[in-house]
Amino acid sequence: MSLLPEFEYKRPESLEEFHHLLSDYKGDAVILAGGTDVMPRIKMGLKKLNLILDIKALEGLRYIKDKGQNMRIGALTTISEIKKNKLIKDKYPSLHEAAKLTASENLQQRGTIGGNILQDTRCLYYNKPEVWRKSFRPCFKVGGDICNAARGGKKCFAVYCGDLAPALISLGASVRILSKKGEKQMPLKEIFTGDGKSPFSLSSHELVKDIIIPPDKMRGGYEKLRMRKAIDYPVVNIALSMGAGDKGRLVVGSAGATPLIYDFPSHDELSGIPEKAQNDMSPVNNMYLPPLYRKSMVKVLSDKLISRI
Amino acid sequence: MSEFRYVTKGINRTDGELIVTGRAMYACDMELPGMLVAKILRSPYSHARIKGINTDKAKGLEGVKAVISGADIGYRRFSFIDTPAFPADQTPLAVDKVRFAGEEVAAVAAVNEEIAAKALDLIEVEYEELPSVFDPEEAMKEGAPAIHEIVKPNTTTAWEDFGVPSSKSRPYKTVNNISNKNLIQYGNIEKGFEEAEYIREDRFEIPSTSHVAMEPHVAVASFQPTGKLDVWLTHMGYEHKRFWLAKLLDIPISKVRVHKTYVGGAFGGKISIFPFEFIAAYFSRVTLRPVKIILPREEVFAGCPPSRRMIVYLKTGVKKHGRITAQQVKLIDDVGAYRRSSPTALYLAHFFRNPIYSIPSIKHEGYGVYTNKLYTSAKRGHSLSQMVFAVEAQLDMICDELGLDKVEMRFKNFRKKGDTLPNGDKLRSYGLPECLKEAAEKIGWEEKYGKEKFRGLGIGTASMFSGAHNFPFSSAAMIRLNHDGRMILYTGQTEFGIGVDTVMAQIASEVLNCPLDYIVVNSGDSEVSPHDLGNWLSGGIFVSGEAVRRAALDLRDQMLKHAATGLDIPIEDLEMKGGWIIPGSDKSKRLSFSDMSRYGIQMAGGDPFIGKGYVKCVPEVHFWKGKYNKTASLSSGKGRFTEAYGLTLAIAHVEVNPETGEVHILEIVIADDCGTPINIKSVEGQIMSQAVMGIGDVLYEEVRISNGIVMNPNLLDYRVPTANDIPKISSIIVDSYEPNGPFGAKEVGESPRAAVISAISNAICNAIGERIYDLPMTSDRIKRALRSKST
Repeated sequence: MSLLPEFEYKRPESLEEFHHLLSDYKGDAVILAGGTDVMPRIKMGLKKLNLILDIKALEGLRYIKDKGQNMRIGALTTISEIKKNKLIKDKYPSLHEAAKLTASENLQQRGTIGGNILQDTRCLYYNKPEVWRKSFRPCFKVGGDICNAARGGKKCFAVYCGDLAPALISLGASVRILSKKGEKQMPLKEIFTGDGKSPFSLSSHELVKDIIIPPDKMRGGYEKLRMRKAIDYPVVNIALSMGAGDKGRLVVGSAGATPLIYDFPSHDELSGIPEKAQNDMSPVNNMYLPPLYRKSMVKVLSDKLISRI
Repeated sequence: MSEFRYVTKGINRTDGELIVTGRAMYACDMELPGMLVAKILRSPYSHARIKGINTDKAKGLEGVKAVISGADIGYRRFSFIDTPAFPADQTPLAVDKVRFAGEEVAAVAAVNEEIAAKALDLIEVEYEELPSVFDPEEAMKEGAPAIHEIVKPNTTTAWEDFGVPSSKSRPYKTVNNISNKNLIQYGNIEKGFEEAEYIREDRFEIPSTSHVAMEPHVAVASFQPTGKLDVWLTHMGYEHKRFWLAKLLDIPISKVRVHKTYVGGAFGGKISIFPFEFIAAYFSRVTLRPVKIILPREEVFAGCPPSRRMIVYLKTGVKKHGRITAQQVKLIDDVGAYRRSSPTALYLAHFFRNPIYSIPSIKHEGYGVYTNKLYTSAKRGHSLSQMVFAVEAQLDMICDELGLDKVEMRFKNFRKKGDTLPNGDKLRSYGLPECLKEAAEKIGWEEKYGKEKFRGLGIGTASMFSGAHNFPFSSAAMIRLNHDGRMILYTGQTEFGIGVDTVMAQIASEVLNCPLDYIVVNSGDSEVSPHDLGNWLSGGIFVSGEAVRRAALDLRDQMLKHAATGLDIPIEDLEMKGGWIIPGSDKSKRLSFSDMSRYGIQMAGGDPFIGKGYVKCVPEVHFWKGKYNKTASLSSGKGRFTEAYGLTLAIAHVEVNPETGEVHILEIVIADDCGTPINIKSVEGQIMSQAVMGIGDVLYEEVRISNGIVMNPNLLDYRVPTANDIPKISSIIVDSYEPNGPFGAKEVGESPRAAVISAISNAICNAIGERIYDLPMTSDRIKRALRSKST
């Protein structure tokens, strides 16, 4: 592993302090929670920074609250805490299963829901140390003008590989975002830009405070295909949630820069979705397994998930 | 086995507490006053001429103590194999051109790692890119880019230094990128195929896999003003390390001391010398300060040699009832940028299989071919697993075609105990048929085979030498009695996780019939221990363990002789027991070992009682002068090879998900004929660890190289099995008693991996009813095979 660069390190204890530090800062700041996504990227020279703002000490961002209304999950809640929460297991099975299948036990204890949602897109040619990347021309994602994975490609095809976001989107979750200007709430699916190069619409001065899930108990589940039975990012991942009248949503992850989302008004409409989703996915050769295989697994996994729900 | 007191017992590691409390000293733990840290600049190009290197800016950076490039070092050549016919072709730093992406180009020594890293960025290298060739079969064609032209040796070769007589080394002129070749033949291949009633020809391809030792590669070097070099290394035996360090630095071999270190795993990947080890030593000499290099994991993956990439063209002829009549092998070893161990590998690919099946006619031809890729070398079962994968796959295909029972077919072709192999090696012990019988019973072959949808069974076989004639050709040991009656055992064996200190103590305790803690093991220090084969060539127990046994016997004889004199009792009346020498006629006159130490000093002229023992790997092979010279040939396969073969038979039971192509391994049974297990727990550990490695080899592992670049140089993209991926694994030890081994022991540390690879891959192909010719069998490949079957 490469060395960490030099940087300033601050650990605010209140949101006021956090905003103050961030808005006054002139250089590049990186927000650090569990660090499981951001630390390797810093070491690989993929994230230029002058300041690390460690938010682990921030009060009031680590909770799972359900008072019969919406469920609110604080951004610093660990994946392990989500996995072990009985209410989530009962009401939102897709989220429970997604948490269970995220990375590995030790990473689940370290990684947070906020960080997991905001993990950067990945590419076999991008997530590598700086010295390794010297064998290639700079790609779109590092500010260059080519794609090393898809030669001739006109944009960045890096893939969003998060486990929790597809499940949360299937549940219709929203995020509350804090900035110095105040607080705003938006559907989770809308923070995705669809651009592999910069996959989220959040500005560098914004912080996810919590995730809000509608109150209705949902049926559903999560299927993840991965090479090994632990650690690995998904080859393809599918989340499905349905409520009253079998109205619901199926979400395909690891399909591109943003999850593919399919709403269906009833169970009848659901049956055609797996094939449509598979046709919609147009992967390039930028993950470990070949694109055609990844694509062909969308229907297999979706069908498997539908048949067991 | 019941007569043994220490040998065969599953005794806990004597150094276990040291390791789990973090007190065992690994090379990466070594800190010395004033120590510098070095880092290496590597080539981003797979083939390029170096037009110039400017190190001025790097040298000017505060905290930088030295910067070197190929121009400073010149053509100091080294290799794993360095014979007059195949002289060493590699230099520690590229001199004229780079031949693979990741090759060492320059290096920096600085007061800390951060400054060293900054200085690397300041080195300016001007490259002129050259056309590359990555496919070995393309590289062999006329007109392919020439990777090496003429390799001119500028000193004697290692083989000559080791005592192999020869005409002077000659330049090696590379034609069509062929680095080396061999041809081994016996019987009559044409006749063999004429007699065959069914012939199959197939092509298999096996990628490189990495060793993934827990500890990365480390070197700490401290050059003294007196001209002496102390080093702490991650290694598998000090003899090759100190030989090459001495030769490359042009200092006497006795002035290089390889200190004892614990080593965090090796798996064949830490033998012989590496450029970074030389670089650490060289920096220490020019700065006269200790220097440490720890290779980052990426550099281990992309800069250090993984296992050999091989293409196997295999043709086998059989009678309708399954008896093999002839087998023809054409092996292409895609060596990468440097030859390293290829001449050995091409030879071993045949010899490791020779004890398994009795095949009347064989033609085995091999080609090592240069390509512009990471060079390759030995990994646990050096080229055995590649050949076995192909051979066992084809045997299964033949059985499927002819409707033969896969178990019976193998029984029909096994060799027999007492057989003499075509090169003269004798199978004094041979438990392979019994291994197959027991493994097939344990897994339930008859009940399960062909009866379960998308489930399959597969067999793999393997055999492995127990030490062979490579430098230093033999092992020796010493054991010295102390005043308190305890003994210090000196052995050159290296502890890289195998429990060697414990088993050597068990052997000595058994001979001297004293408690285990009477034996203090001092291992792996080149200045203290006598010469030793090291922990490779699978000779640790068979050769070095036998040397320890003989040293203990020598000490026992000395003590008994003096006790007989001192007590004036016939030696035949004396028994050694529990740390005492006891006369049968009058037990009250017994003497403790401590008494014997005092006796030696007071009454035997100060005799310190030092036992010595030694064993030659292959007594019949001599590298000496004139008529005494009786060697063995890597290129023709003539001459003796080893004194005993360990044997393994593995059977795997797997289930394949036809929708996703995922493999679920249900069970692996490994029956191993390792002779007497000296420590049953260590033996089981060896077997289990190789099963786990084999799972990785089949399902995930491959050093994936695209256009010369290693695409997965990290533990996220290079996947080794996690704890969740390990199925039920059972080991059966078939003790065949090897008469030449210490207490009947022979090899166990390399053979099971190959057998497991074949077993799992054959089971997968059996489950899907389709053959996959390449490794690894990832889910996408399995899915593709299933699709091609249905269309």
